Formats: sequence, structure tokens, C-alpha cells
Amino acid sequence: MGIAKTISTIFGVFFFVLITNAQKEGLEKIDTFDLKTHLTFIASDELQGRRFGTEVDGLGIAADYIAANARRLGLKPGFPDYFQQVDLVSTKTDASNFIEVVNEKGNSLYKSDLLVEMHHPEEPQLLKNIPVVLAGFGDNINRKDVKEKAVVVSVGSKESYNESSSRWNNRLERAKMDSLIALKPALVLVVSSVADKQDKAFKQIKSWYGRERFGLAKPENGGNVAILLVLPELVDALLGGNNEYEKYLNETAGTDKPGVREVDGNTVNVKDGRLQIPVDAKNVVAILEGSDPELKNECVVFMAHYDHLGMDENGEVYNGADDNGSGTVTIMEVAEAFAALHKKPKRSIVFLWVTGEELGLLGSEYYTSNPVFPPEKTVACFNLDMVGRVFEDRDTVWNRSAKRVKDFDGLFTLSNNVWPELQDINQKFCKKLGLEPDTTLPPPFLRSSDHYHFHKNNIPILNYATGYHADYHKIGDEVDKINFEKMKRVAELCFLVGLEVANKPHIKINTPDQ
Amino acid sequence: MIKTRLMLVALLVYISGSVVAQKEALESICENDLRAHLEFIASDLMQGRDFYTETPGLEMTAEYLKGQCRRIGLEPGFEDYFQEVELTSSEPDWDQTWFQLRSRDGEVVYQTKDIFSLGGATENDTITGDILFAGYGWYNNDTKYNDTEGLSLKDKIVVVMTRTPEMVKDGKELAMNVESLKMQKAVLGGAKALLFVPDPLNPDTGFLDDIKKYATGGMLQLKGTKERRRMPLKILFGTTELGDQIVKESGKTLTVIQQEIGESGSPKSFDVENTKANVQLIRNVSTVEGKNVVAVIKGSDPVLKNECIVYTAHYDHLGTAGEGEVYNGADDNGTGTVALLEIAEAFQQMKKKPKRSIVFAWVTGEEKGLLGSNYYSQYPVFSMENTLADINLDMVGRSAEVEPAPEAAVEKSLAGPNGLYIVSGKQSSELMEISNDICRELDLIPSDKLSEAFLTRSDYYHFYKNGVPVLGLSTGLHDDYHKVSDEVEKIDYTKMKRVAQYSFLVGEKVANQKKRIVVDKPAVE
Repeated sequence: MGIAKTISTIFGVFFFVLITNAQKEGLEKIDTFDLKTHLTFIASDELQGRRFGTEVDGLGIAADYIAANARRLGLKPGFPDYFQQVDLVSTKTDASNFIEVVNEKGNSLYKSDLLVEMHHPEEPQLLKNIPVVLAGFGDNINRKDVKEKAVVVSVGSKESYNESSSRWNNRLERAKMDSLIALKPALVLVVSSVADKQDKAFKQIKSWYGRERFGLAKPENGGNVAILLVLPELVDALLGGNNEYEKYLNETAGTDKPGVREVDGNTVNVKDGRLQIPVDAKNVVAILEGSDPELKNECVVFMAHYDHLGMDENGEVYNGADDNGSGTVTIMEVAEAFAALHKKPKRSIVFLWVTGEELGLLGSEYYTSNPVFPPEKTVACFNLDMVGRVFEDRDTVWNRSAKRVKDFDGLFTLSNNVWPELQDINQKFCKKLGLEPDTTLPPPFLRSSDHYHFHKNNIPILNYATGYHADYHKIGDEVDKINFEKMKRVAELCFLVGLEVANKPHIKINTPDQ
Repeated sequence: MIKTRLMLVALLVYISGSVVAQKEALESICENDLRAHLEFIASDLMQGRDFYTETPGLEMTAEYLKGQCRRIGLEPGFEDYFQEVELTSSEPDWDQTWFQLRSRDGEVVYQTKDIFSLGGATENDTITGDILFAGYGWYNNDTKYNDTEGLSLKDKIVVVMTRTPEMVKDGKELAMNVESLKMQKAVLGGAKALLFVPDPLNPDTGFLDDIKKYATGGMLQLKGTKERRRMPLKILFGTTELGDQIVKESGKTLTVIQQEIGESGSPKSFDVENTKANVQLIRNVSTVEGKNVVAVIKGSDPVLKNECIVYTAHYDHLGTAGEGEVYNGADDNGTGTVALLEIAEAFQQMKKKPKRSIVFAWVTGEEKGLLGSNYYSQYPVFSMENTLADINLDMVGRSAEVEPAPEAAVEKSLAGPNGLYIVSGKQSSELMEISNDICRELDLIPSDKLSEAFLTRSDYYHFYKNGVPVLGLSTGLHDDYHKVSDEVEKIDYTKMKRVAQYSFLVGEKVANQKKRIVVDKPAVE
């Protein structure tokens, strides 16, 4: 690394002779001192890992800090006070939910809270005396068979049943549930495997679905029908005897009929639905207005998520210095560089710090649905996610990953094909700065961070990252392991590529394939 | 001739150059930046910047200030910008706090833990003695009603009801100034302690709850400082029930006695014969870490850089009010806190720094008794002898629509759009002249009105008492003072900017002029 640094310094000297005044004006503002100052605050223990629900609202404080800095730089607020409120909800299982089997007289034969809600109705509901129809493994079912009924299907297929396999095949089950929900029954009951005597799969899924989850407040696909995963003992109670359901499945699996059978007499009562609590979530959005009367209606977006993982059960803080304190403060510094330009770029610049990335790219999803500039006017989105580390020996734990952290000159620069010239411009400036761009990350990485929602909207993206290291998503992701020289180079690259893109007279974006 | 002309031109260029530089620095102080900082400092998330809040907003504010000092490029005054201020906190130990009534042979006939002391010792205390029940403890000059007529208070524990016969008759609420007259009377009479019990007809018990909260909420003081001037009298607060027990031997309750006084218009005081009081007040003392944030710009003159001027502003406030309400203290003293950042940034922009050094001290614990500034004055970056002036900003962000009338009460003193209160001991006529010149330059109307009442009430006091000339800046008191409504929306940023610019210009002048400002009227302690 000694030599690499020397060479890059030499490059740097040449480079500074060649740059334009505008470039110089901005680049002068980018320094390691500022980066370190900001990151020391953002990634301090006091902010408790920048996640919802910590005792100190460190996530909110980080947002305030970023907003204060944006105002100080003289950037325009993208939303009042720089905050875009994100309609985020936390979802928890309602512990009072149950399913009950009753006979014709209304006496209870079975009542249990052992159920998993695979799909929620929009509002909590109490269903009473719903007639039941068994429908084998869910193949070839007609709409009229299930109308206003609770339809009972087994997990797996006839084939897997005959092999006594109790493995949960997610794709198969999802497809089955989607096809059943389309038939609009009153309720779908998926029964866990009768071969799984310890109900292992059921327990696993229950604990997975039982966790608090976060999502945007929007209606779920599939309307108002609940899908519940239940145990075989429930169907035994419906059929009036132990192992009755297994007998039924044996018969059905042995034929090529769908096995539709109405249950006489006994019906089910169900209470289901979830507890939803709105969460105070916000993106921080600041704008530098373009100087060209036409092109200022188009924009370049610089984005980084500012949330992280919170704390562990021992009270240790995930400071997330690299993930994504590094991206957060690099964008702050890029913003300072742009704000310092006497002649502003032709296009507008949007600086976007998004929330809820670690919970499922939620802030960026919300922004792209409610943007300041519409997708077709957004000519590029730069996403910075972990840009502050340089390879150390310990990082060989990531040898099998395509995205193992780079050395001092390397940088992952992932782009999509919406506007191929973006990658050319990127490479040109990488070369000037002595950086070695790696463009080889496979397509799944297009979905791995916030740029996904821009990609999805046919917006050219460029994702900068230094890669996975030994402290990724660990307590050890601390400020003292950050290489600020490297971060500075990424900030310079962002600024230079962004400036050229923002000033480029005409940009032709490929129309989507479909 | 040509030579002199050239020199003249050179001089003009030089002067205009420095004026331009100064103007640039001055203009860097702007509303936008003040607002940016203030919205961070005075948000709910900072929890009112106090000790003991649920989340550490005071520390977070200190971290923010430190980060800004680094960003601006100021030198740290102490390691990592923090001056640790060791404080001790003292709270009642409720398990070991009681008021006992003991019979003459020492037997405990009644005991209550519902008792607290106000402004008393911070360490443990026991009080024993004879009891005098003194009605309201009141003396009325006009009617000559006197609760202690012919009775000796000397060394006694004097028990009084709150309010006065007149107030009870008129249905008036408890007022602290009336109660403090009773305290004076007890001191003059040589009483050992004065115990207040709520009079049974008292409609307002909330007031006493507030006193209790204040008196027992963890008093802070600097570690190792001597006991504050002790009150010559212990002030205690008990319950009406305790009052009933004390007067029991008369065969009457407090309610009955109060009625009798009301009907007869004459006192019903008496020395308690059967019982004596035994009061125990045990306090838990713990250490609390506070910090001042201190940054420095070194002077450019090799000799004069050893002298300095100091800018101070306290960054603490009052915390939370329960129910999730936060005392954001936007004006008190978010404004002074962030104005200091802007002043510092303006100095830092000057290519040639002032001859003398500049110290910026964000001090803690002002609301707890000017603790941080007290500590700084004992352990300063530059000695107090070498500190030429302290410019303190405390509440500098509000304006009334018009200037207040000259005779307006202090509580209604909020300055108008151009008004600025400057509290000073006027130790240096020269400093006051500089201050007046700059007020004129910026169209500010200085007022001295608050000096008398406030000279001991903000952080400049500890500089003043050390012989340092002070300028205590404020835009005056308002209805939101020490209320949860002291919010960012009510701030006049233009006013704040002008006060910051004034501060910068005065400081720049004092720090840059060749001769040290003259202290012609030293403070007399």
C-alpha cells in the first residue's frame, strides 16, 4: 500500500494541473478533516446505532445533524425543514389471535393460538362459523368449490408427500398461496407437514413471522383474504379424530384427483389481523437548484442511507462507521463542494439521505414513489453504501464474495445499462484520480442497496462501494478503522462525475425493454 | 514627496484591505447559519440540555459544539475541547429523613417522613429543640396583629401556617414574598428553624409541590467548593397533618385554630409544652461530570497573544417537564450558544488574526448556579489577569415589536427591534466607549437598565468578581422565559445576527488594539 499511495499521490499532482477552475473550486472543499469530524459525530456511541426504537433517538439526531449542515451550506430544503416524512409502520403479531373449531351446536372442539399469519387482511377481523372445504395440495381447485369457505390445503405437493419430505419450499408455497387467494375464498388454511412430527418447520416460520417488521404503509397485494399456517391437529379436530387428516392426505396423494371434500357440520372461528404502529421516519432531502433555465428541471441524485442496526442485546452499539456513516458524510462533503461553486451546474442536484435501508430499502422506495423530480427527469442516481474501508488481512473472510473489500486504489462502481455513457464518464475520472473501477459485480447486486428502486424506475445508477470487510454488520465497524484518504477520493470522484453529468448538454436515456 | 504619496497609497490599500477583510468576516455571520445550528440545539431530541434527563441531550450538545469547533478549525482550549467540571449532587435520603415529636422523657410520640428542607445544608443535619407554634408567623403593621407578641423565638423550632389572616380572608393564593417576610422575622428572633405547614384553608397545594421539586431535585455544586453562605435558619416544609400533631396538646386541630384566629382577629400562638422536635435530614452526595466546551484562536502578536478576551455562553437549560414536554430553551440559551459558533467562525475567516488570543467558552450548569463559568474562572486558559474582557451572550434572540417603555418592569423588559441590554460593572470606560461606538455603527440602542438587577445573575459574574470588565448581552426577559414555550419559532434571527456582529466587532477591537484597555473603575467586592 505504501507504493500504491505514492503513485496515487503522483497522479494527484498531475491531475491538479489539468483540472478546470470549477472543478478546483469544489475539490478544495473536500478534505479528510471534515469527513472525520462529521463521521465522529454520526458514528458515536451516543447515537446508539441509528435505528428506530433505541432509547436515545439517535436516528433522529443524525437526521437533525445532516439537516443543520445542509442549511448551513445554503442548500434548499427538498421538503419542509429538509425532512420527507416516510409513511413507515411497524407490524407486530397480535397475541390475542386464535383459531377455533366448533360443532353445529356451537361447542368448542379445539381452540389454539398456534397459527402463523402468512397474509394479513387489511383490518383485523373476527370470522364466525365459516364452513370448511379440504382441497388436497391445492392443485386444480375451482372458484365455486371454495366460495365463502375456509379452504384447507397441505404444504408440499403430492410428490413431496409421497417422499415423506417435510422441507419447506418457499417458492412452491408462495405460488400456491397466490393461486388460492385469487379464487377469493373466505380464508386459506395451509397445514404444516404431517411428516414433521416435531413441527420444526412450523416453529421456525412462526418465530420468523413473529418478529417486529417494518414496511411502508400501503395495501398488501392479494386483497382482504387471510392466509394462516396451522397444525395438522386442527384438521384432525375438524374431521373428528386423531390422524384423520393424514388418512385423507394418503388417499388424495394416491390419486390424480384434486381431493376436494367438504367438511360436514364443524366450522371454524378465526380472529386475525396485525398490530400496526406508525413510525416517525424521515429522509433528509436538500437541493441545489440548477443554473440552466431548461435543464434545471432535470436532476442528479446523490444518495446514501443514514440508518444502521441499533444495539445488540448486551447494550453494545453498532456504530456503523463504514455502513453507512461513510456514505452519509461523504455526501455531506460532496454537497459542500457543489455549494461552493460560483457557477452552479446546469441541472439541479438532489442530496438524499434515506432512512430504513437496513429494514428493506424503505426510505429509497418511498422517495422514488414520491420524488422531488420525477423519474424521467432524473438523469443519474449515485448511491454510496460503505465507501470507507481498505483491505486488511482479516478481510479474507470475504474471499468467496465477489465484493470483498478493495485495496487503496480499487472501487466497486456498479451501473445499469439505462445510460451506458455514465459508466464511461465514471471510468474517465477514475483514471484521472488513479482509482481502479471494478464493474464486474453480477446483477443481484443491483438489488442489494437503495439504488435498486432507482434502477427499477429506469433511472441510470452508479453505486460506489469499497466492499465487504471483516467488521461488516459487526460491533467492530468503528471510526478508527476508516481510511479517510480513501473516502476523500470517493468524494472527489462523486463530485467530478456528478459535475460533468449535471452539465452535460443532452442525455439520452434508453427506454425500458418492456 | 512621491515617496510619501506612495506610502499613503500603500497605507490606504492596506487599511481598505483590512476593512474589506473585516467586512467579509462580519458578513459571514448570517441568519441562515444561526438557524441551522439553533434548530439542532433546541430540538426535542436534546431533551432540554440538562443533567439527569432520560437521554443525554446535554452531552450530545457538547459533542455537537465540539464537532463544530473542529470543523471551523479552532484550537482546543483543553484536551479534545472539553474542560471537565466536577460537580457534586446532593439529594435527600428519604429513608433517613424524618420529623419526630418526642415526649419530655424522650419517647417518640409521632414521626413523619413527609418533610423537606429548602436552601439548607448540603450535608447531613439534625435539629432538636423546643417548639413554638406561632399561628401564621405574621405581623401586620396597620392592624398591629402580631403572632409572636410577647413570645421568645430564640433557639426554638417555630411552626407557622402558610399565608396570612388577610390573605385567607380575601381568598388569596400563597405568595413566596409573604412567606419570606416570615423567614426574616424568624431570623431576627433567633429561631433555630422555621417549619411551614400548609394552612388548612389553602386552596393551592401545587405551589408547595413546586418548591418541593426544586428543593429535592438534586442540587448541584462544584466539587470541593466551600459550603455556600449558610442560611442562619433552617427552612422546613411539612404537612397539615404534622401541624395537627404539633398543636394536639391544645385539644384543637389546625383547622379549628385557623377559624378562631379568623373570627377573633387575634393570635392563638403558644409554646408547645409536652413535646420537643427531633428532625433528621440525611442527604446522599454523588459526583456528576459536567463539561465546558472551550476553543481558542491564538493571537497573531508574539507578545500580546498571551492576553485574551473571552466569549462565554451557557449551553445548558432546564431539561424536561414530565409528560414528554421539553424545555427547548431556544432563546435561553440556544441563541447565545449558536451565536458564539458564528462569532468564532467569523474570527477564523480573518486571514490575519487579532493580536490577542480569543477564547470561546460554552459553559455548563448556568441554570444550576453559574457553575461552569465559576469553574472556568478558577481554571482558565489564560489567567484572569491576562483576560481583558468577557463578552457573555445569554438570551439574545428575541424582540418586541416596539421598544419597552422606560418605566416597564424588568419582567416585561423585552427589547424592541433595535434594543440591546448590556449588563456591565462599567469597570472600563474605554470598553463602554467602544461598545457605544459599535452600537451606533450597527444602529443598536444599548440599555443599561438590567445591570443592577442582573450583575450577579449570569456567567459574567465570575469574571466581574475577578476584576475582568464584562459585557453581558441580552435582549431581555419575555413571557416564555423558563417555560416550555421558549421555542425556535419565536426567534428573531436578524436581531441575533446583529448582536453577534456587535460582539464580534467589540471583541475584534479590544483584541486588536495596541494598548490594553484601561480599567479605570475596578470592581469593588
